[in-house]
Amino acid sequence: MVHVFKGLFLECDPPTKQFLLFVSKQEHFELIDIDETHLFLQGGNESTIATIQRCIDELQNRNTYSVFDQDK
Amino acid sequence: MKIFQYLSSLNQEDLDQLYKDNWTCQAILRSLPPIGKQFILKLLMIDSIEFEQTKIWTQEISNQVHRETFKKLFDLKLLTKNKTCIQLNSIFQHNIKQSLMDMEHRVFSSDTTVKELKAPTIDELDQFSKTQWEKVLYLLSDEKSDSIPLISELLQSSNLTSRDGNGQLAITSEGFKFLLKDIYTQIWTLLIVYLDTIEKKYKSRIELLCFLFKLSFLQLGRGYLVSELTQLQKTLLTDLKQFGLIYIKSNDNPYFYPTRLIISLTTGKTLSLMQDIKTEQALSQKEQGYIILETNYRLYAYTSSSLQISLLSLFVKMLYRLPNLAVGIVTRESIRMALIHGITADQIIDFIRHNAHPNATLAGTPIPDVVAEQVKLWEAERNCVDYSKAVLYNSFPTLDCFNATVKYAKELNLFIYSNDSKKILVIDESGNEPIRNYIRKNFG
Amino acid sequence: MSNETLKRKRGSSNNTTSSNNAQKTWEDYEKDLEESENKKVIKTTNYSLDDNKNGDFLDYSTKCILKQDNKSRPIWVCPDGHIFLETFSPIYKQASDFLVAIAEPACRPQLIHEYQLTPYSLYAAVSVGLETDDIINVLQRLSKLALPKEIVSFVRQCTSSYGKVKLVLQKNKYFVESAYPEVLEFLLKDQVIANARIKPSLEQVVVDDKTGFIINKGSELKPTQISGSIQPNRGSLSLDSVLKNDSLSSMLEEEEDTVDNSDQQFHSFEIDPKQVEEVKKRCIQLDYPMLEEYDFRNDTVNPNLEIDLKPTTMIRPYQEKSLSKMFGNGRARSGIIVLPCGAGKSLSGITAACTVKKSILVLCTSAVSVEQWKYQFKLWSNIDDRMISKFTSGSKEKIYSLANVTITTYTMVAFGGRRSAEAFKIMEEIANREWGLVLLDEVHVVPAAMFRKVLTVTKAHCKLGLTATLLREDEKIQDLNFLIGPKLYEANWLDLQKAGFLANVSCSEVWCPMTSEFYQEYLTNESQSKKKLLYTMNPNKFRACEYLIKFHEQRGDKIIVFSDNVYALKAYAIGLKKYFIYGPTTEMERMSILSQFQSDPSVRCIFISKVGDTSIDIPEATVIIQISSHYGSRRQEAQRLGRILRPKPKSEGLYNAFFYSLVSKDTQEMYYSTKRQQFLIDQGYSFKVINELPGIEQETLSYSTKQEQLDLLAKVLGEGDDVGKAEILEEDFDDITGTLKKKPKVTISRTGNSGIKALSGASDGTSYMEFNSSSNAANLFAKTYNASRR
Repeated sequence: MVHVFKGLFLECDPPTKQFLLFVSKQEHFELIDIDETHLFLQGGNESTIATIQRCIDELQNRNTYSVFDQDK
Repeated sequence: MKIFQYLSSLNQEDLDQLYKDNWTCQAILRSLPPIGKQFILKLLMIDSIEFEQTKIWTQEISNQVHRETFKKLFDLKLLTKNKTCIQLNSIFQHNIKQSLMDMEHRVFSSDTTVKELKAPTIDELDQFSKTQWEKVLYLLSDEKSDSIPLISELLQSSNLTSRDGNGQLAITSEGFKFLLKDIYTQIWTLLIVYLDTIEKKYKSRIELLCFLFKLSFLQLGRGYLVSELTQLQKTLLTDLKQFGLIYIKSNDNPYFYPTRLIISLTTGKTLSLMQDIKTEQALSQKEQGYIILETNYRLYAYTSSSLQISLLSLFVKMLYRLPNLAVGIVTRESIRMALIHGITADQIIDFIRHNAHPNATLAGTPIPDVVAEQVKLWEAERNCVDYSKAVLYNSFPTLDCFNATVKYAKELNLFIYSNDSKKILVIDESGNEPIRNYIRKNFG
Repeated sequence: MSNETLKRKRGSSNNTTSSNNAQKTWEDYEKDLEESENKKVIKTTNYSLDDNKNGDFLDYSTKCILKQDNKSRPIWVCPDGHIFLETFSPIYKQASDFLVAIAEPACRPQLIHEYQLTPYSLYAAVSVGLETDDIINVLQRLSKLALPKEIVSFVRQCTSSYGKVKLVLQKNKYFVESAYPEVLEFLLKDQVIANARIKPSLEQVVVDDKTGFIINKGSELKPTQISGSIQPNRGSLSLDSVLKNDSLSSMLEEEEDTVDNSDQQFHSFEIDPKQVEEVKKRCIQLDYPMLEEYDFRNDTVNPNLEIDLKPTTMIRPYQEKSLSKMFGNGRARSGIIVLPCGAGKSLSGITAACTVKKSILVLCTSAVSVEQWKYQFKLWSNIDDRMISKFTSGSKEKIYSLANVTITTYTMVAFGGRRSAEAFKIMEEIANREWGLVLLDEVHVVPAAMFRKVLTVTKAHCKLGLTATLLREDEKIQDLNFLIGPKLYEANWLDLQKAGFLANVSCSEVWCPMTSEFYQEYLTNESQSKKKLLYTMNPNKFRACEYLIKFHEQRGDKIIVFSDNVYALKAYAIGLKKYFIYGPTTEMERMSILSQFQSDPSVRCIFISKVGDTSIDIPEATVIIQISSHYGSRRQEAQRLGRILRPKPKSEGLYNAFFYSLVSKDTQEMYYSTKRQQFLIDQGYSFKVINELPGIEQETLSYSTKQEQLDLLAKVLGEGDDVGKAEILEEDFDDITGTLKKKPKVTISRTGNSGIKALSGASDGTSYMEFNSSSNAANLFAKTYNASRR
């Protein structure tokens, strides 16, 4: 039987997609892998979106150097 | 001009009402672009004219302008078309003729004789309106200030500020755009919202409009008796003070003074005889550029205005403030904060470009390309994932079933995406019912 | 005076000024110095250039007062010592010269420059002869704001005790000299210094009965006229003109020493040479750091060296300026000159040598460097071939003449183990000789311990450190100031570029997205070095590299691709069919590749590993591509850029040199890349981000299919863990970058051959062991040292 899932359709670039898959395991939300640049988020409520955004922000933060970083 | 936009949105009845007022007509005529003025004056003394004949009023090459001007005049219901003839709005026509013949030209009867003791000087009036308007702008950039409740309300209703998740008032993208505009556009924007509230309260926006236009004919530096105003006008006076448009010492003081802002409101220009007075700030239409942005992301602003600095801190991390210089640095964090508030990268870039210091423009880089591009990249970062509410179908029993459903979804305009190899179909969330029914019906 | 000074010193640490810097005394620096020797310390903010390391907002709008005529003045001086300078001011040049002399440049882009006042920078100012009041007055005149009183007291505090005491080396003896006998008396109250003192016993010197100090009349020192026309400059270019330009036209009196030495009396006492370091340290702790100056004109004891610049040699204005700081008052001052790579540091050093005209010792970081210096000496000066000797593990040339130029490496001199007889003799000679000038090349690379060793072993009248990157956050800055001297001059990169002395470089950072599979692996893999390998071997990065090489080869450019990681180097080079050079490459091969690169039009691109950073004499290139680098090293970034900074002929278009850094997006590499760029960004360079190479999809490039990419991934994952790390260069004895990893007592393999090998930096395989004996080594050396001194 055909399965139906309600939620959010996500479009992004390949690395981000990989990152989302990676994060989904840690943050416990379900993603359906459609192809290189598309995912489907099951459920897709506000808080999950916020979590995703937060994780992306954190990743970007880690990879960005700011002049105010203490020299290590 | 914004005021014309507004007027054009009024209906015939309201406009007729409006044109009954002498001063309004004059004010409107005065604020028309020169060519519009010409057209009106040409039609002033005649009843009607063939539209075709008006073509000779402008040169061939300015056909575009010709058409646009006429359109504007029609929108304002100043002209009416009757088959192939056009004619001037009769009420309007009458009033203009009247005012041309009016020798006395006085707005209020007693405007020549009486003088108040310790009347404010023109400088003081300028200072007042400048400070007042700055307070208004402060409300946009500094969430802590809540000094003028009336204006604060207006800002919120026009979506220039909004309350974010924490209940904090913050500037919106619209608000940021607003800040970039010249002062007269800004005043009118708020006035229009104000007019709506007045309409709701007193059902008398036309009266208010007429009042505003009347005020614009007053003389700067002169005091006028409050007693000459109507009841409604008296009520409105205190509100207008909040805008910095008029000045009155206290609510029951017999005299009120128009400020430069109201007088120039309809013309958008400062009066020529007042142009000698230097005003350091935003009263002139085009501000002197004051920002230098360097390739190392540091920003230097030649300003002592707390307002400008608080504006810059919306997207710049400020480091130093000196009497005539503010120094900051554009960082990913600072831009992010601005982006979160709804300000766009383009707006920030335009703002800096707009206000670039003459030395920076001379050197050829009002804003360094690297920085501009980086800001755009930071913005793109935030939008790396596109979300849309949808429904996903997979595990189709057969390929035929899958293909047919896809086709059907496309027919119903519900199709968003599909993956043939995995037999996955994604459709808009609203299409769940019909698609499910279709599948059930055709494939058991 | 001494009592008051003492009180002031005790009180100084209690003084709270708004600036942290003011509280720091020399003593604190010494403490930091000692601490940093033992462990890696995370530097606190005290010496940071941007006082706002935390980004606090400092509001001085009400505190500072704007002057009426502020528009005509070019600088703002903040209470925390931070200074802003308008470059579009009509007196920008003079103001900038002044600021460079008294403050540390923080960043100098196009329109507004920033500087920071620090005790070090003021020490440097005083060292070149500026007086406290002059500094304050000029600051006052230049400043738009009324000079904050904290600044006035800071300047006074920092400069009051500096410049009063000098360390003079004369006839193999060390003297502590001052024009103020009270100061000497004060110093002698200190136990350590008193113990080091050698009472004068000879009758030749004039002794003051009261104090017991040796007195030299100023006239004996005989400073020449202040402009001190330095010989090698062609007659027309005397320093006079440079100095006149230095002085602010209407604002400043003579910048140089205003002390009229001829009437002054200088008092001094002798100290034990073995305790010179101790005495120096103590003086610093007592807040009287000693200046070291060498009166070379009046040095009758040390033999002269016949050396002059060739008449065809042209010195550039900035080189002259830097030397004017060094020779300002007719003596030679010790210190550091900072010039960008490719701007002619060597020539500055050689000119200094030609001025001093005494024995010169040149210390380099590698055998290749030694060759280069010798070549440059022969190129620019008229020195006789017999007067230059090299001393490296590969060339142990005897020192034949009384006065000569000896070029050697830091490691050779600092070596504490047993040497061969040959080496021993030469080293003895080096240690015994009173060198007029010691040139320390690439001073920022050398670790402190090695420095100390080198400077203890050799006796030099004057020390000149040359470097391109003086990173202030480096712990080394304190070492360098203490061991060599203050910063004498620092050039402005952008100015040099505008004047055509540096190539106009376009710097770009190319963002290469990771492929899905590589990124997935990057995210999930635990190993740091594997992660590094993954982002280095990113197929999209490979394609970007290929694309750029194709593009520039078509233009006719010469391209060098750098990679710290050997695996990547080989993979890329072999994949793109280009020559590559790394540690194990034999010297024959290296020479062949390099000469083909230079002359063969079909060889336009070569790949080089870390050896290229120091050990190779890399020929001219116009394009550099970095595919893998060493974490956040700003020095390395600046140095690599330096490879293409040599001025190029004008090309069509704005730029005539290109620098690309390829980074894999969304990985740690982005972080390090930005960090590396900071130094260059402060100099005014900007890194353009290239998010997408135009038309890259249309090009036929490698790894265009998913299968190829997956194959590559499999290969990469299959590699051992070490593969992700940077290249470890085989120990080349002379090469300092190799020795950084070495522990002191380690077996060293010596290589036998000479010449060519040195140029290409390779070892040729034949080796014999010089053994070390563990504890004997140090003693042996010490014995030798003492023996030679008798």
